[in-house]
Amino acid sequence: MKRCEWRGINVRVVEIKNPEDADASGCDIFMIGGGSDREQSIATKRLLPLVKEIKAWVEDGVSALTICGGYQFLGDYYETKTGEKLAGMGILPFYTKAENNRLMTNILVQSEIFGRVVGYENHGGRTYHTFTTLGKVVNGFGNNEFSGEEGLHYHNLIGTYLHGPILPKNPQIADYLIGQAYERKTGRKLEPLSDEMETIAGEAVWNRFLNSKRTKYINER
Amino acid sequence: MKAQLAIWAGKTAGALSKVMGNSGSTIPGVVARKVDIRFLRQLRKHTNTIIYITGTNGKTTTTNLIAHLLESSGKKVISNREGANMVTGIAAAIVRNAPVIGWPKNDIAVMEVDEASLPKAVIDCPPDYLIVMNFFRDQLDRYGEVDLLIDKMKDCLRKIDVKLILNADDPLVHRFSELEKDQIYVGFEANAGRFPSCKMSESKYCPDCQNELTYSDIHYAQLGHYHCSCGFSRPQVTMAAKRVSQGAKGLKIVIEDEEYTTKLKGMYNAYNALFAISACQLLGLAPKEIRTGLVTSQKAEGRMQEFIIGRDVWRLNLVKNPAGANVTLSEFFQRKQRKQLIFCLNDYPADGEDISWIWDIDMEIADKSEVDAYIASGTRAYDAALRLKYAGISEEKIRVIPSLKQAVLYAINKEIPVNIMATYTCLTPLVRILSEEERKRREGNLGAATVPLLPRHAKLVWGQRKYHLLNETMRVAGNQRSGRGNKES
Repeated sequence: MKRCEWRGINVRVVEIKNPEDADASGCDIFMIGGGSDREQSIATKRLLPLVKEIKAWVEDGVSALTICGGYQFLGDYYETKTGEKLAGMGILPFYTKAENNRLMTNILVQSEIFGRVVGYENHGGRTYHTFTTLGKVVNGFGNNEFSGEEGLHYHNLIGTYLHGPILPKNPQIADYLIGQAYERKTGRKLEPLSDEMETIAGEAVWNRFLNSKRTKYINER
Repeated sequence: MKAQLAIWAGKTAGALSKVMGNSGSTIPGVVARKVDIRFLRQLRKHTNTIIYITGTNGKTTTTNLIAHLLESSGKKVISNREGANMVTGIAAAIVRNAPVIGWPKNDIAVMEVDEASLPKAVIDCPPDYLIVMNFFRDQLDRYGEVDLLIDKMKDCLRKIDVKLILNADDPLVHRFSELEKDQIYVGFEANAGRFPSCKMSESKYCPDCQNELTYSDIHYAQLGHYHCSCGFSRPQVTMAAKRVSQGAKGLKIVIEDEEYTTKLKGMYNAYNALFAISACQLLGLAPKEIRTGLVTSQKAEGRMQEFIIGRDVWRLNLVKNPAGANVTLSEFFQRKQRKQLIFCLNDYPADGEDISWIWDIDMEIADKSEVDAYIASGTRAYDAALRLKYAGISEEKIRVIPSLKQAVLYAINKEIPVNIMATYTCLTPLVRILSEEERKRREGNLGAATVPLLPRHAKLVWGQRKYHLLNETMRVAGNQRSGRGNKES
């Protein structure tokens, strides 16, 4: 949003609380955030009438960012600790299974497209899929403790466990999402910005946690 | 006998750690629980009445005030006043209170308890009263999610006999009402006072039917007069605050028909004052006794603490979550004078390792022309700076100075009043640095502080050695606070 403003690109943000809030003409970028399990299932139920449209947007190459719960509920289902399967939106065929220990730490990811990516992860769900990922985990957990991979990248949709938040400290990802949308709309490429502070902040986090091999961090019980 | 050993071991460890220059607020407790894992039971044995205070914001201030009011009325009180609020912190307070041999009975224990630690504390030592103040998104890395947290807290209370003192204005606290316990509700009446206006960030959906709640009056964040079409609504209040206003000395608050003048400043302290005074009334203090106690009350460290640096008044306030940071900023910007703002952000366990919460602060409040400089400091200074930049603040005005001391010295040189918001582990070093500067200037060792001016993006060296060492000690203390590194059964 700010990065569009700094470039003089007009942006209209529409908050979707109910299916009827969505513009029939679609959108250029959409984002689905995360929340607690309770809020997440409310949100998913409300979005169900839109699923067909969201699917079409994704296939069409609309830029999209889905984080944590938003990422998990792109899939077919989310299996809770009690074995209950909460239906996802079924946008892409994959699933998430919750375990007792939450995976929480500062996470560093080396990505082929985006280079170094930094953020914080905090999730109980483990996601298993066969799509292209965002990148390899250098420190932290990512999709699950076993694969060493983080996130999902399909057309221009990114699914990730990184909050912390992902966009300001990783301007290359923010600009990828904006840039793809901008090009689709205008056919022009995005002007670069001075990202000195963002880059230094990202590097500071990278260097601070590069050697902090964190073991599992379990909630006080 | 085991308990006696635990006390001796705890006292010895505390003394050793003090010699080594630590504040030692939890170490005696860590050691005592190593010797006797159920050490908290001692509190039940040696105290007549136990009151726990929990919730996201305001625990330390409320705990301190209740303990002080009870003490000034002549009661013998034991309390964990420094805010060390996990089981180890509570155990440490017991160790400190215990004599070397024998143990006289206390009248009352006033303990602040971290939300996630409540179940553990309740099992070992069930309280007679529990105050539940509020729930805001806090350090998610320690708590997982607010909903889960509330369920766990409720579950641990089912089996015990306890009187609940609850915040009527918080829909999240209202979930405790389904417990079949004695409940006392406190809250502010509509238009009781002018609260700082902040955005709503927390879940505002009805816990019963999942629809959005409607508010007829909002105090701040999700606190206010709420109702839902399904019938879920703000409960009947037992003790209503009819008016609250900022006087010259501090907050004036009218509860039922009694007026009280506190020394607490800032509207965000209104709930703390309300809870403390109501609790003391419930515990049998007369309004007159409370009024007398309020005159001599002291503020907790780093809670809107003022320092006189030369001719300027500096203010320091603890921030640990978006709701608290928003009211802090509103308070800072009440007056339109020229100022500087320092944002000190550390990420040790005691601060919360996940610093994402800073993006939920309405930092845009701080984008004002009267601010000469914004200084970002602490272990995550660059993240703090980035947050300021994305609030629309011009990069020209933002300085990144990771060392707390250098940041303070840089600001002193400008000779403009400074407001500091700082996370938990920044407080102790900041109070030390600021008190020192205050003393220097009072005693006339004036002259601007000599400080090497740092380039705008000084290369990140994680602190000079001394700063680094200091932070190492903080980190060790932090680890103990968050209960890591001591395996508990």
